[in-house]
Amino acid sequence: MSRRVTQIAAQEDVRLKATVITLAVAAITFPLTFVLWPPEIPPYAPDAAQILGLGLVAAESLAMGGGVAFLILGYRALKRLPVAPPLAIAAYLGIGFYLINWWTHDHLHAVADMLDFNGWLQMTVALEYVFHAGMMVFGAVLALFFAKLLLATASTKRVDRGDAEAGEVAS
Amino acid sequence: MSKFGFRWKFATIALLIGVVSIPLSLAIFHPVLPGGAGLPVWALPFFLGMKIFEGLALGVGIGFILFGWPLLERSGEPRLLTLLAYMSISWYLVNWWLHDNLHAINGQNISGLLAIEYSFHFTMMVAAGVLAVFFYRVIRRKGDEATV
Repeated sequence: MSRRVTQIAAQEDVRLKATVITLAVAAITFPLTFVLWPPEIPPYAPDAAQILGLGLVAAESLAMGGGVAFLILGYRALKRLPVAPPLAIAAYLGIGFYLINWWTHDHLHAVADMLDFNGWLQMTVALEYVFHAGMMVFGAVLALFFAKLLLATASTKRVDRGDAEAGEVAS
Repeated sequence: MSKFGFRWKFATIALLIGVVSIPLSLAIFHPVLPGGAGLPVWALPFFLGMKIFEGLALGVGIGFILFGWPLLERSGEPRLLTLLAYMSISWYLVNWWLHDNLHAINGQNISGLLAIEYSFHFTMMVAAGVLAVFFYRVIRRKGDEATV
């Protein structure tokens, strides 16, 4: 009973910490966007497009905040995993990358658009390989990680059930 | 299904879809470059390399859609969260083939860019949030089981 209460309290604590970190980072990132990066939506675009552009900056900032929260709070949980294979660390880094990459990624595309043709092409190729191909590889890593982890769980449970049944037969 | 049989089927589907989708994307989507320029020779291997990545990601994604659900179902997490995690991993793999090609044919069109940003980038941010929650809950559960 007391163990269950402790678990619920710990879960609520993690939710609160995650919310605070996400909002704090987003509150810094959102205004910083307009200082550091060129506009994603050109100034001559209609008002509706500008509003949608602001919505994207808000989403990117919240994703960045969520990513920082995940990398901080997720690491503690990762350390408690019975196995700590490189695959688990890669999956953890992959989800972190999925969350934090958008703020830099989207705005670097806007920077590329300001360059001459050769500069634009070189930077676009680099962004495609670092961000797009990177996310594809992490997608496969995540699929493999969950498959291995959950297959291992299923076989452990089968072994446990087999032991229990064998025990019943023996007794 | 044996482990070997499963891997063999998965690899066959991933490679088959990869091999079909690469020439298909070259045939369907013609990139619109700034000023109507053509693709310089040095960029061609990089361009083809990305096509291979996109094709294989699409193949692996379809393989995961076909075979991944029974595995994720074993997580013991709520059904809705598990379903969203399954859809998120699938989306992170299959979206690139269409997504990158739509960017390539869109050029500098702002309405098109916003449509792509909201359909792909925004949904991927949400999917990443789902995966973070699912991953955290699954590894915490495993950690708790290990300490009991």
